[in-house]
Amino acid sequence: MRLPGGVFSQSYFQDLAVFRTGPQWFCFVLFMVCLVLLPILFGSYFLSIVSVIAITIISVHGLNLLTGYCGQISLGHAAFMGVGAYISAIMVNTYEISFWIALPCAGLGAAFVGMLFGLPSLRIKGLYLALATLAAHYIIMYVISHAGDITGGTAGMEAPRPTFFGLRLDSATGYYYLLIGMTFLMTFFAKNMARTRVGRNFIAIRDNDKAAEIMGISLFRYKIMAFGIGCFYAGVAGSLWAHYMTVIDPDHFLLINSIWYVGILIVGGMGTTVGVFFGVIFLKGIEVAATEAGPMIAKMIPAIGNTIAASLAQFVLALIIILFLVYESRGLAHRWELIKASFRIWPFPY
Amino acid sequence: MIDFVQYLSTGLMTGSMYALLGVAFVIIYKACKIFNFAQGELLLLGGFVSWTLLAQGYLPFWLTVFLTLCLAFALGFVIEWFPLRSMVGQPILSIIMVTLGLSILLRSVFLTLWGATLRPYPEIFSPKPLELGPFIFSQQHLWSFISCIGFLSIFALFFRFTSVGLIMRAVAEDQILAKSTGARINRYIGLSWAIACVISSIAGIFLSAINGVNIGLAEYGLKAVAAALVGGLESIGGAVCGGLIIGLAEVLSTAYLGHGISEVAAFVILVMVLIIKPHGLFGLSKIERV
Repeated sequence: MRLPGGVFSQSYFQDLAVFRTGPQWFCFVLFMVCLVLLPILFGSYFLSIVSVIAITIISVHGLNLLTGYCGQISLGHAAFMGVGAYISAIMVNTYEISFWIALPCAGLGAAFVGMLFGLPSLRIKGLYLALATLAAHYIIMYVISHAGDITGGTAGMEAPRPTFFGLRLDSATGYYYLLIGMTFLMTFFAKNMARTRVGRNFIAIRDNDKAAEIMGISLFRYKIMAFGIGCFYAGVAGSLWAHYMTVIDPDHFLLINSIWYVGILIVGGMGTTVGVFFGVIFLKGIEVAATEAGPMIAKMIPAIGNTIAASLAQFVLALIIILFLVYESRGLAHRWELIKASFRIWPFPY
Repeated sequence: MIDFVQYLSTGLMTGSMYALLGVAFVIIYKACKIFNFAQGELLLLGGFVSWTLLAQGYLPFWLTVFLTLCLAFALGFVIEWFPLRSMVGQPILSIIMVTLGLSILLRSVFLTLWGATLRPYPEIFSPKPLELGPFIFSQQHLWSFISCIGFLSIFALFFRFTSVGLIMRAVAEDQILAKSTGARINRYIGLSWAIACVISSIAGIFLSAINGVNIGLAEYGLKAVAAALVGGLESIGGAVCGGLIIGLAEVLSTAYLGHGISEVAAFVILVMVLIIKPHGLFGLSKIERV
């Protein structure tokens, strides 16, 4: 990270800090205050968008650790989210266990399934691994939708909202604060995980796995660990999603969702924590805009009919992902660095 | 026993469609090392366009097929030009995501133009089953199987005996060497895409003639990728074998293990092959050096 002029590290502790300058702290605190005040300032529609954004951020953090840092391609992230969602729903609904125990259990269960399907990653990579995770997606979703006795099959399953020390989080606002808290916590861990020994080993494996192994990094251990951590995030996000929606069915976890998660990572910038935020907020914003614009276009040009409303968002999102891959494959995080750099060195060109 | 032979023949006929699609995948992969996840949408193109020409344009079948394949040929050149020309040599994740993005893009266009309802295809082959001794064949399946073999042999002969086919094989073998002999690489990679599009559209026409045409047909595309991987990415013969294996697995698993399992049979086989023999049944295992 490039620092502004005049800021020096005088101790190791300072060098480690994520926020270095006063303005950075100011922006962070302002951002958090805005998030806390959001339900008072805006309506429930906006709140629901921010809630979905928060859940997606948690899920994509996991994919970022797995794909962005460790380089293991996963096209089955939505299915791992589904595993977490169903574990949590079954524990709370069928066995009446508290949500606060079900939440970490959902993460651990998804992590276990993820590690199981991550086992082939030791022998295969690239396209083969992508196809293996794609196969994992279909197999997991097949099991979920055919185990009707346990999961409710295609009819879906109820997942009631949790309580917090006797305080019911039934309302959208109450659950929103839970989501914000969880997102903060998970972001904190993701950011710091990437800076520790584990994260550096992930990066080494991504950049050159043979060289990493020669340097003494156990490929088996760290690849499986990457799948475990990535899918733990997916499981937690899935659990939060289940209790946010209160009813889940297999259609919530389609292959196209997995593709969107990887797309978010590409648009935001792989292997950066801030890129996850950029990607999710940017693509979700576009999706909301397209969903709003769809019926308007259908009204203006009746010849295309109502089908445009359903497919416009997909069309625009897919186009954006393709354009990013062709013209800016390092994503918005890279753009952001360039903008910051141009402010820092202004008025000189370098 | 009669049942088993019956299942076997049905499996081979279903598998021939996967074989066609798998061959299209391998042709593109060999030409420019790009994995085409949009195979299923190219198949839909054949299905939808031919349905429109037949059911709404009332054209004769042979003219429909000709026009559809011409359109597919042109589309192949277009999608090679953008976005895939700039993706050659990029990281694998980018390549996978570009073709996945392309597949969603095409699918949303089809959804806008043709909607999500299942459209019954006009009758081309007689629905009356053909009885040969104790065995019963559906005429639709039989005819698509025969045409499948016919098209595959035409393409095999094309690659083997024509000068264009020879240059295309040279481009697949070594791009730099082919370039030094004066071949225009981009044109031949474009041609590979066009041929792959044509093959997918053929499969699309037959599949929609059997099942009716609907956006869900795109599922066949992903299973065909599985077929190509089971066979090993490098060989066209392997893709044909992989396609037949997957077709057989689907029919036999439905017959003996119960309905519904055929959705995942292809992927279960894929995972097993990847664990036991990671480079496919007929693939070359590459020796990597640091």
